[in-house]
Amino acid sequence: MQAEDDMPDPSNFAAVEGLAKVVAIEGAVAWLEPEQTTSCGGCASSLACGASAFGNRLHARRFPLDNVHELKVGDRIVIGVQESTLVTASMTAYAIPLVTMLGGGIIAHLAGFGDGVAILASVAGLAAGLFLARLRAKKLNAQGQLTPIYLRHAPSPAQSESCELN
Amino acid sequence: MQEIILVIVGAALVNNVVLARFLGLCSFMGVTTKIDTAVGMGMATTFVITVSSMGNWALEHYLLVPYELEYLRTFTFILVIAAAVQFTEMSVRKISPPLFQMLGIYLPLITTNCAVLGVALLIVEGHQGFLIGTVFSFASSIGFSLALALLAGLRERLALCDVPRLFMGPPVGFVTASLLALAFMGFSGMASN
Repeated sequence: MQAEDDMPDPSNFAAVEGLAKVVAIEGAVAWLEPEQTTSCGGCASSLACGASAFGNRLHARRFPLDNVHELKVGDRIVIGVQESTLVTASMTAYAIPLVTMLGGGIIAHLAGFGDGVAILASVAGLAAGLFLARLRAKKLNAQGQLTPIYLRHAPSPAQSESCELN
Repeated sequence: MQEIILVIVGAALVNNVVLARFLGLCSFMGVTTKIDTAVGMGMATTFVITVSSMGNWALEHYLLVPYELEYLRTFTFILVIAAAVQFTEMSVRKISPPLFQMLGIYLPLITTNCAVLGVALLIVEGHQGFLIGTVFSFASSIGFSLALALLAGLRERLALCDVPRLFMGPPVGFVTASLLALAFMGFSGMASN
């Protein structure tokens, strides 16, 4: 569990922030669901737009957070990850599989094989890349680099909506 | 090898998918308020464009052309793109749930990004082979990510500037994007694709 002293000072913590709602408490762990913060679902076309339907699958994005701030079910909080973490995460999830996938295709092509073998080599490279990405993600997770951090409580929806309207 | 380098330069800089072909403008303006979100979106789009272009090339050459089903091309490509986005979402979730929490928000938006379909159709139009087509799609998406990151960096600086109230937000963003497009015109003539 992360001690309170280890928490970064929110005033100088350069973070990518997001809103989340506490949906369950299990012992010392609070389960959070991210809130939809983009315009998706909020614009005039939300009923006809498929993007809002995709974005509303919040249950699938539920994640745990150590409950050192005595959070209660229904609380809305602001969480954050360090700015550099997002770039590291993108590199891990996308760059590694891409490089191995392209490498597989290029090597097969340079070896003189046809397009069919190059496609198979690319798929094999992609599978290897996803495996490597999983290993790296495990390592980063063990170091706590991918864990979101509690920053502060967010105002209730009624308050924030009235602010937006003004 | 020289052909591959020319394809990369041509797709990423000369015929930049956003600033020269004007595809994917929705996410270009939508996620470029912060450089980190722009990089996240750019990387996700790069992955999806490359994977879906490979899938589309294989379907085009092993299914649509041999069975004379070219009239189903757009429909098929859209299905492949949706499947590629779903595959990416599933694989990121499998790789690491915290990664999915951070990067998952960008993925559904890519399904409706016309740059993904545009690149796949450009590969078919150019009668490119598998390797050149894949390199073209990768370079196009790197160009897309580059444009996103450049505009995000400029908009982060603009947020600190004293912009007239009428131009604050998206208007000055559009002005900046058009100046960026003009700057990219300087690459024209370096390589063609």
